[in-house]
Amino acid sequence: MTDTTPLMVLAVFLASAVRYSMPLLVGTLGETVTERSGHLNLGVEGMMLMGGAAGFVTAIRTDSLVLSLLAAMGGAIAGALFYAVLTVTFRANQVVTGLALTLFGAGVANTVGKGAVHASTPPHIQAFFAWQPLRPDLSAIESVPVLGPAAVFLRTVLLEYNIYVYMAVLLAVVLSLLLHRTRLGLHLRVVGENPASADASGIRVAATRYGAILVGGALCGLAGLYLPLVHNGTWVENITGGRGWIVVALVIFVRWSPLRAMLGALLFGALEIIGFKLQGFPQLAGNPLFSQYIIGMYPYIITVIVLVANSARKKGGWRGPGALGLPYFREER
Amino acid sequence: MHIRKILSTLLLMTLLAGVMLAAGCQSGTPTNAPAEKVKVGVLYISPIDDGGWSTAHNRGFVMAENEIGKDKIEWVTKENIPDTDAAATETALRIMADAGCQIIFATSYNYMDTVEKLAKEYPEIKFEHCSGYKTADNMDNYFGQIEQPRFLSGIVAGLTTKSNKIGYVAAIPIPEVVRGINAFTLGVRSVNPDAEVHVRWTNTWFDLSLESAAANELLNLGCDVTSQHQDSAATLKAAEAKGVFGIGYDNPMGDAAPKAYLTAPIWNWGAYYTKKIKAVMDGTWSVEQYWGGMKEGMVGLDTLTDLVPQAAKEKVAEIEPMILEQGNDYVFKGPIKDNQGNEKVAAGTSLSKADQMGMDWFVEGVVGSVG
Amino acid sequence: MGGPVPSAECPAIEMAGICKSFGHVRANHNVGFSVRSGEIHALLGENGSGKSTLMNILSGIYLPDAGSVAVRGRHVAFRSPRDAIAIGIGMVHQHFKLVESMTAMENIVAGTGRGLRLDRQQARERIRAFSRRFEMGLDPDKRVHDMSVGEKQTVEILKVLYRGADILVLDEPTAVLTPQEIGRLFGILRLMRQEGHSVIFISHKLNEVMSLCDRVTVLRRGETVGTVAVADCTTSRLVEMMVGRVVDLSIDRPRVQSSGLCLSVRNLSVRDEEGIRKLDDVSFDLHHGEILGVAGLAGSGQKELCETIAGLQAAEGGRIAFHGNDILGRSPRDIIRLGISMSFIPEDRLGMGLVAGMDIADNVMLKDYAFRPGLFLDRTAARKKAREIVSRLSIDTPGIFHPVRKLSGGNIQKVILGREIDLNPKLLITAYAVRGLDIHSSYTIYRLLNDQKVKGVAVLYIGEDLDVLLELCDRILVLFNGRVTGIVDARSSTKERIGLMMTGETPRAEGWQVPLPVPPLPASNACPVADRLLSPDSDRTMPAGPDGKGGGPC
Repeated sequence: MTDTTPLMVLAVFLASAVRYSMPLLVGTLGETVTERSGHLNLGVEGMMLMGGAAGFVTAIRTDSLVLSLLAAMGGAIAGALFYAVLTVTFRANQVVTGLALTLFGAGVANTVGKGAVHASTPPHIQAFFAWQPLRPDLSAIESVPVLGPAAVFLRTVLLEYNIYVYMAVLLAVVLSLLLHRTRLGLHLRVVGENPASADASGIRVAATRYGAILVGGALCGLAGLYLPLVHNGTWVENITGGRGWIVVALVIFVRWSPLRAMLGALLFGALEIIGFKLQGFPQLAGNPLFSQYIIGMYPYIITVIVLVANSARKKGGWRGPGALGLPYFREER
Repeated sequence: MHIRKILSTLLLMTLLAGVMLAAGCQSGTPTNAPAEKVKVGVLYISPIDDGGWSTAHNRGFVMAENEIGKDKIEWVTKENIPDTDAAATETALRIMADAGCQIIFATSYNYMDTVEKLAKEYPEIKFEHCSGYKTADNMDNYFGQIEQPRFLSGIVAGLTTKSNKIGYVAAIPIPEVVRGINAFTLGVRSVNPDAEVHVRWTNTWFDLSLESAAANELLNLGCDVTSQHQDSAATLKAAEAKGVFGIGYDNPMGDAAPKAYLTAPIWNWGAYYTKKIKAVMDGTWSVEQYWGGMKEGMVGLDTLTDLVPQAAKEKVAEIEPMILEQGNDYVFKGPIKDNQGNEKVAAGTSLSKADQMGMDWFVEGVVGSVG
Repeated sequence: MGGPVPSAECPAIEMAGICKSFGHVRANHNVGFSVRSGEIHALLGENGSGKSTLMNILSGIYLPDAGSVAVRGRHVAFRSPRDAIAIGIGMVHQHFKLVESMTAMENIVAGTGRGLRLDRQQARERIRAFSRRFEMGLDPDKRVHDMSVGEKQTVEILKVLYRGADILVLDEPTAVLTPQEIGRLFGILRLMRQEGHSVIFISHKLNEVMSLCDRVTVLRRGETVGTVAVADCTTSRLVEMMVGRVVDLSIDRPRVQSSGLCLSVRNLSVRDEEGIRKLDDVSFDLHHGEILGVAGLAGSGQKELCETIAGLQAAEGGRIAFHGNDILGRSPRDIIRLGISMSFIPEDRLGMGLVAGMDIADNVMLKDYAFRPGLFLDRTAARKKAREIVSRLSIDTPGIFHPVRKLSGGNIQKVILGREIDLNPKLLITAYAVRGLDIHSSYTIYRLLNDQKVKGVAVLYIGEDLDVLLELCDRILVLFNGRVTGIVDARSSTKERIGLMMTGETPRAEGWQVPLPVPPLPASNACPVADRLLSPDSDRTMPAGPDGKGGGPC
């Protein structure tokens, strides 16, 4: 019952792009929170793996979704805490620490996940994530010309997702409001822009940064859990396959905005699968622009372009958190 | 300030030490080996529990161990050494050589040049390289004719499909994979000339998400049977989720997707490994460029499951003896056209071994392009 | 305990017996300081006299080693700036601590209040109310990067008021302001005084203290010299208290017979690496035996001007002629060889020109060695030279092998200037030569510059303090956003007019020398124009045409 009209092909493609974008979106939201506080945590890949391994192993051992989610956040927070202690308290170099966290996280995750390789997501959790809570029954109008296909198209693109997808979208909106409309968000942004200013204003710089890094880590953990628990239904070593690095690029690409993160993640998610769509066009075969290898580079190419465009921005324009990557020393004499 | 610096350095070092340990190498304990033991090195491209390629090799070594005796063999193994990383490959091989291994198996194609280099340096060690073509006095290569069970699995697919569209998730466009696709398609078309085999390249041997993305693309096209040249069960799982059927690879994969699994062309390296390790122990090791087929037991077709139609079971039973007898000559028997309509193999002949080794074109019935 | 009972009579601030040491440096020793409610109280002292330390103790950044602090009669012991803010003491730092990309309101509100909810409307109203009350005219929704320096300072002040402070500490608030902005700031501070707020005004500019403040406390070398009412006091008395002896505060301005045109700059334009125009069509002449001052707000193109002349920065267009030869595009080395010397004192003072870890002798050699023949360095000569510089400029150092990094700011600057002067330049460019120096050192440097001028050297003096520019220089070129808004005769113009020009206004009055159009570049310094313009009286200005444009006779 596969519908191969061009419209439905497009709908199905968009819907799978959304599904593939999920770990990118949630990871990007997490890293955005972290970077907004002025800390560049390159350990996203490591935290995603730690969260994914901890959450998946917990799921198959305890059969509990709640415990699995908590374990995923906890595992990644452990990694984030390492990073926070080193970079906030001891002011270690953020890039080096982040890279170390990537290696460390992968090592820990692959060790923890050893026993879970090829195990499957417990059936009731599988069922929970197969549930499409918003999917309406359109059998009444499906055969109506124009209206029917349009409704099915919209349902496929918008309403046939599991609860993880809707929660991620909600999270993006909530984070955006939190960042721009609340006192907490203002404090976070001030800390990220100019910690000296925050300090002088009575904002607790270190505490805010710890909070942002740990929350960012928790979200990365949930992003990492999506792959084994929801998407692939099993654990293997290095299951993230470099998506943590795509997240780091994405945060820059969406210029630290949770709302734009949805579009950015969707684009990068689509890039992940568009190669298979393009292989269906034999006339493109051999064209290097569409080779799977090159398509795999597109997220990074796009990010480099955005980086260059960002730094060419006119003076006064916002180029990202002002103190990103810089340790904060209260002026001491 | 100083204390902070020292502390942070210490913490970083702890972190890095953790990395070393965690990422580090699971090697057997090579200490104090009694002299009668043979030391065997094995280099794997992925973890031995990848469920695919490395699992299949590991299955072979476990069999060899059981045959020869647990107390007779001491293992030095390195997992997860990318064959594209020559430096890591060399380091791993050197560790094995310096640990005193008498024979070293390198189980992936791109290890070839590094193995050749080390073979010159360590003439007393026997090197066994899988799937390559280079040899030396102390360097052998070995591979199996997986095309034979692939052809049979093609028969199963051709007689199972209703939509006459079969999906094939393929790893990397090299002759080995192309040969497999062609053998499979020839099998399909031998029983169902209307069926097409649609190919999607992932350009990776092992990536769950990419493999399932490719599989889903094929399933969305309307394919109702999948086949794969990938080392994970992701394609089978995608097929199962869609309620259609799939054919695995490397190992029996029924557990991963019981509702979709038909069969799989599988590797049985055990007999060869047993033979070569014994040869080292006896001092009879020699270079033989081994390329075993179903007859030698190097490759095989997993037991057909109950999901396979009766007609297919019968057809496989009918063809299998001929393959056991004729090998690849049966699989690549003319006339064969490529998928542009050009005749590649004339009736009455078979594709030469050299042409099989360098295959870079698709047979009629394949929808897709090489590369 | 027995602290004084709070009452209306109580001083707003009473600090007594404050001691604070850093290592073995005594920053404050037994300092007493008292501020009444409703007064503007100046804290006066040279750099290193302990003003900042005292104020950092008052605002909770440092803990005193000994002594007591009482606010409105109540003893307090602050552990952090938050404690000080909570009790109503707010510090306005010299270097603004604002988030450039945010609005005034966001900057002001950050760190205040509790809970998640941020009531922007209410905050906006409160800010507007303050702004009206003190006639600040601040738009709460304006972004900081769109603000002038004066506005930014207003935001800093509002930030403190918004937190409920009624005791404000302002650290050198006028250092970066134009005279007009200083006037506005003083208006705001006077209104605060009327409202009963106490203002502590840290400064070393005596005329500002005299015109604004009620009382003055003078610190010297970490100790209180005394507190006096401004009404009972004179400038020279304050200087005496600051320095510890009588100092002549007038700056010499010898009249020098010019020996001709030294430097001619025409239509010079420069962009930085981001493509932002830093110098826009700059033209001027500089003669031998003349000090040409350059005034302008920070970042108006001073740095680019110096660097372009010194060959460190590429120009987009225009010409720079030195004795008639175009030097644009020449290497810095060539330019030094021609006799052009530059010293630029950046804000951190050590950033440019010296290698901090090396000693004086090596630093002296650094610029000189390139012009000596042979492979090996002549250390003996360099040492001799270093000793000369140390004695001539009375540099306070244990010896010429002392690392420059360990010298005080004033001495470092003397080393830089001494090294440049030692090269016997024909053109000396100095930027911010007295930045952060005490009075005595500053006057030493003015004297050095005048010596050079008398020797016939052309001096380009980039300065911050308008009073000094007006007293030291012969002419003053005013920059605004990289453009020359005018070149004025220093002997006849006023601070207010230069202040206006610094904000982009181009006055067209008699006696103002307007740069456009400048005569075409003479082929050599033999051009009669140069002589006519300069001799015999360097005070003469270029005659202005009827439309206010300079008449070019060449």
